[in-house]
Amino acid sequence: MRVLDKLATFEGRSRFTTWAYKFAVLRAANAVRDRAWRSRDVHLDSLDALVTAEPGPGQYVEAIDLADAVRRAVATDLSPYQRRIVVALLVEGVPIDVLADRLGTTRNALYKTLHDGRKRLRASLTRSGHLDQIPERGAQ
Amino acid sequence: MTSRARPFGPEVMRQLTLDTEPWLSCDDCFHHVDEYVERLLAAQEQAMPAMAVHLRGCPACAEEAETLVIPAAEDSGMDPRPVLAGLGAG
Repeated sequence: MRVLDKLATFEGRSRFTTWAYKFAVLRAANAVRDRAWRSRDVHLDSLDALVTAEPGPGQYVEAIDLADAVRRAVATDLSPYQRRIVVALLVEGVPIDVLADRLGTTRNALYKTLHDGRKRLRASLTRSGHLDQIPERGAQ
Repeated sequence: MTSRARPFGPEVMRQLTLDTEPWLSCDDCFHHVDEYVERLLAAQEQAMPAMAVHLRGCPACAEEAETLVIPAAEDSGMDPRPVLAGLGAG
């Protein structure tokens, strides 16, 4: 059993049950996501997925300008591989473990690509003066 | 069948430009998630800032951490709902 194989890694920083549960949670989550995406294609060149959402009244010009700036940054400031991974994970919502399996890579490697891509996008939008316009969590 | 395209609205823009420093890998997150969840339940999560950053930036790890809250809370005789609400799980 998977948990028994990992017993030597238990360091006592949590209850043993919490530590053991996390292996079951990981396994179940991977199985659920794999099943949900089993019959779905993943397109890695989906800049078309960056369809601008309808802004609210009074926000049209600013929202379109911001969306265009982000779209330009994605299109021009990421490497081709970063762009494909960032769009797949964050725009198309492909689960990271599903994408890792499809690409024959690891979750760690994809998250590192995402991390580096985000840094480039932040740098790009800082240069263009748009970063401060990105809405906070929960904003409409 | 194609993957589902999502509207490019405020939440997608926020996720695209999230500051995910300090760096923590998914493997390191998994290594620490049991301790982090128990600290969340004890309102001591501020001791592990890199975990909070990683969970904001990695939906899969966040989903797994949220799921772990429920049995961990039950074992402690605690209500998981405040922690889940704080993680955005409602």
